[in-house]
Amino acid sequence: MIRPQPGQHRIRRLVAATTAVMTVVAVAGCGGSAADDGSVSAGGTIVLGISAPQTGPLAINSQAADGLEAYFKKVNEAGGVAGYTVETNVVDNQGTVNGGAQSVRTLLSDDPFAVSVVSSGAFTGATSVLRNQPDMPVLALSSGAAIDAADLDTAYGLFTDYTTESFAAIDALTEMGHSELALVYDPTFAQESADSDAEYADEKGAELVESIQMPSSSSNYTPAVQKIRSSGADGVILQVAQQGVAGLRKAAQEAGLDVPMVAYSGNLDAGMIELAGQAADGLYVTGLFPLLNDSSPAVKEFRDTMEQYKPGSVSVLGMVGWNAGALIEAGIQRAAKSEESLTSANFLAALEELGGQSIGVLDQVGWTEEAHDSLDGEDTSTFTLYQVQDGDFVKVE
Amino acid sequence: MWTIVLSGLVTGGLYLAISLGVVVTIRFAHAVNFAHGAIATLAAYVGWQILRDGHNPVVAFLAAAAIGGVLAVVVSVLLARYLPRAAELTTAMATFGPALAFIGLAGYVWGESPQPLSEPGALGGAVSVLGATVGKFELVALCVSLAVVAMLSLLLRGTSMGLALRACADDPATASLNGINVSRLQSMVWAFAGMTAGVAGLTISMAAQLDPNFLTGFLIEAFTAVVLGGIGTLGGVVLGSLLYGIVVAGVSFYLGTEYVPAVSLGVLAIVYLVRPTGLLGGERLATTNRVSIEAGTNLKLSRALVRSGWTVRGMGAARLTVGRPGLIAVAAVLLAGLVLVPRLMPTAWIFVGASALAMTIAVSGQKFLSGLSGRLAVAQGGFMLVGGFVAANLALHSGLPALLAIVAAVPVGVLLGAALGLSILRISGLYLAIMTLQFTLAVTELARSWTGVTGGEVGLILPPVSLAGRSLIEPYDLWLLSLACAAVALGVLVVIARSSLGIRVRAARDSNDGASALGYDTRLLAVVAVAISAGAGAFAGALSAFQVGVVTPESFTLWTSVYVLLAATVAGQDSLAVGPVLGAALVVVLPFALASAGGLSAVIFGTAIILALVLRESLARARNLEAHDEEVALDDDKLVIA
Repeated sequence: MIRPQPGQHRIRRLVAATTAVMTVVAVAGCGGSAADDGSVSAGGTIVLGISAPQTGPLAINSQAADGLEAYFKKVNEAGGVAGYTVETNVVDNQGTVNGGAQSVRTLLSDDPFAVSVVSSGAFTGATSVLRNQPDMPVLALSSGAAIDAADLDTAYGLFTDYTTESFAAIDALTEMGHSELALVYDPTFAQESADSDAEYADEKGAELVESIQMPSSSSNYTPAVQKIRSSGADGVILQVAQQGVAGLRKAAQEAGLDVPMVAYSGNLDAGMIELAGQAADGLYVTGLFPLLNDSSPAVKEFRDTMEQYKPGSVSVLGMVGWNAGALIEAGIQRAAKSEESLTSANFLAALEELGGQSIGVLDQVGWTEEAHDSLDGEDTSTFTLYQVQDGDFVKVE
Repeated sequence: MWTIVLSGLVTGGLYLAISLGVVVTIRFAHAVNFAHGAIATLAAYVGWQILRDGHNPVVAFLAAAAIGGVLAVVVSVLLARYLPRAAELTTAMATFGPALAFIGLAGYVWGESPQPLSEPGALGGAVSVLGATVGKFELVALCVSLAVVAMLSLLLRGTSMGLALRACADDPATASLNGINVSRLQSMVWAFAGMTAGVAGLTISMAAQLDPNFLTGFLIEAFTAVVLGGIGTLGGVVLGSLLYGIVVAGVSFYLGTEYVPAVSLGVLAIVYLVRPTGLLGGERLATTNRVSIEAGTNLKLSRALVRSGWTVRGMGAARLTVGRPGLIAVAAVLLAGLVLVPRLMPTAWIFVGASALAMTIAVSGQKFLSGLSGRLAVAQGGFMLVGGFVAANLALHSGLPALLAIVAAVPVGVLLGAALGLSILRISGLYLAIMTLQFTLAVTELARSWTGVTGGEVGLILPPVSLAGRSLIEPYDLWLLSLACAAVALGVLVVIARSSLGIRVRAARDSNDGASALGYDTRLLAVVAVAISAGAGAFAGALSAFQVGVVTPESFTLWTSVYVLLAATVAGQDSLAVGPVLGAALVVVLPFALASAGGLSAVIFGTAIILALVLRESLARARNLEAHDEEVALDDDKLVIA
């Protein structure tokens, strides 16, 4: 019997381990990649890379990717965009910083025409990769603060800026005659609101008397409600997700706290009303996008198509993704008209020209030459105020 | 004040509801089940579906209990059949496999959106208790939880089954010799725990929210309550749950939720200074003494591995002795492969390989602590975050070259590790795990709040690493840098492990009293092990931050700590180089490879974790069979007292 020496055990294990890892990496990586100048031949296929959190606590945001995918399924079935077929390639970013960087690297290996990144943390991670792709059009569903910090000229925000939206809430509350305001915010996406709201409230003749962190994992909302009560606030700005808004409204109702609260547009969703139940009544919500049950043809088309392709994503996030598709389509059409072949450069130029126009479900795209971190153009007047009345959203005139 | 206390008490009732099953499983089945929250999640979704279909809430709760019981038994069968002789850490980490699979399944079937779930109509609204209002449903949930604990306590004290359970809890081997069917009792315990998970899951979802991830996070919070009160007694879990609920509510009101992890860490540290097993906990749960039925599957797999030649003897017999020149040749070929093969790979995969190397360093550091020192810490994510920000600040504000900044993170990590090591000297097992987990949470919260140093939610953007005037931007350059860093770090850790210091650390792990008798300062050795592990974690975090090019408070989180520990478990007990490479590959490369698999990727990843741990245990078992010249073709399965 041959008994191997201890050193041989180590060698064998080392060889096995290294071989296994290298084989997995090499085999799985066999996909090839090629770089080009970003141009697409007429009548060709445009690859849109989408980095979205499909797993993990932020997986709900993948509804935006669903919206994008559904939009281009519809477009391709109708013959494509200006003769081009748009192919979507979705890669999971887990909603993490590292996941964002790795998913975008994967997408880039497929030589996409443009990249869309969903979730703030993932976008922050992705920027380190995208910074080395100065011509790559980037469409981001991320906090405006993260897009601004990324300092990417080619990045376009697909949603509202949370800070601008909190300013819109301050406008609404002060116009209602309230002057002592409290902010409840999720630090993972609205930290900038906490940093900026005091000064803005001051400009509006009001005072931010309390600023309360509320992470998405919260389960006891009473301390926040009692803090609001003890601060003497007569108006509340809510920069938290739907579960947080629902929990806070219920706790406020139980505690008999009756002060106006204004939530951001991620809550302009029937799902939030379902979560909060009767406690949702009276809640104000700022919105840039129309209501999901809006009767306009654009929103009806969104609902019908989503029901056909992604019925689980008929939501605010789904609409944001859907509208991103409309913006990309409009950019391609405009760029394809102006040049012989579609390039990143003329596509980006076309996106810049979309500012002020009515595209998709939006009456007016807020991108400007100077600011395209968000669709609101950092203008609080672009927001519409809604209120929940009898279980439905009603526009406040 | 009373309003805050009352809200804390009812939240404590929810902690009690979710943690009761966990504690019962630890106490009577000697297993830590991290899948408990995921079981509760799946059961809650089934209950929600039944309610949505218009059925009575009683039916929904019964169905949730049944589903919870079945799922828990499935997990127990998995552990009993495939990991019958595995260490506590291995079985505990193995439960993360089903946990991830169940969470993934819930998301795949019911979607990721939070679902509305109202309390039964009669229990809606609020009531006033001594002037403070509280939700009627939450108050009833608290009372029911306390009633269940009271009934369980009566059952344990006043019935023959209770006596058998207590015997099984205290000494299963003796209980078995006295004719108690330990295996059957433990299955009943698992089923009961699962049923409580189902009911608790539906209850908490009604009180708070229902989405695929919430209950697992809530369970982690509840673990803090459990170890605060002490695991050994039902009184401990009640006291811990209620007290922790009040602490969280009080801190949230008077200081802010951002201070909850730091205060929790402080409270645990103070309590453990006086009582290392929690307020009402006992010593007896510090060790496992279990009876397991070798159900055959694991043994058969091990035998098959022996026969296939996938073990030491099999491969050794087929191989010529290579000698020193052979060693050098093999090393040269390996090195050439590591250097040259990535040149042929796509960019994304080179970066993933580099990430895996950084993770390998963190895992190796974790192995030094949880393997060599035998201390179950879950702090590596915290150390990685500290390392990332230290290196980032040094590079951005002190003008230090990036490479030196990465290295400079090590002493900071070592010092922080030593400080943490001093504060956790007296605790072990799950107590240590949860306290170090709180450390990770506290570091993350601190990073979010300390925006002047960390940049807040947008973090700090890092310059590329430069070497000899050349910026290492290309992925292949980063791969080579990471390879060099990993080689140095792993080399240092292996050298330390083989030095007299490492031998002493291992000696203290194997026998604390024996090591003390030999004159070793076991307390110092325990602190040193944490410090070395922390140094490796900080180095890995710094390297990873520069690989990505940005570091934010979300770069390394609680889940990073969990994945590092998971990889370390896959790596095996004493391996500091090869095992960590394999473990890191599992938790970094596999999720990346599954990134296009959509919602099912979590299910596949969870299954892969279970398979990896089963395979590792089977290989270890096969080696053991060979090493002791056991007859490979043993007869049928037999009862073995471990």
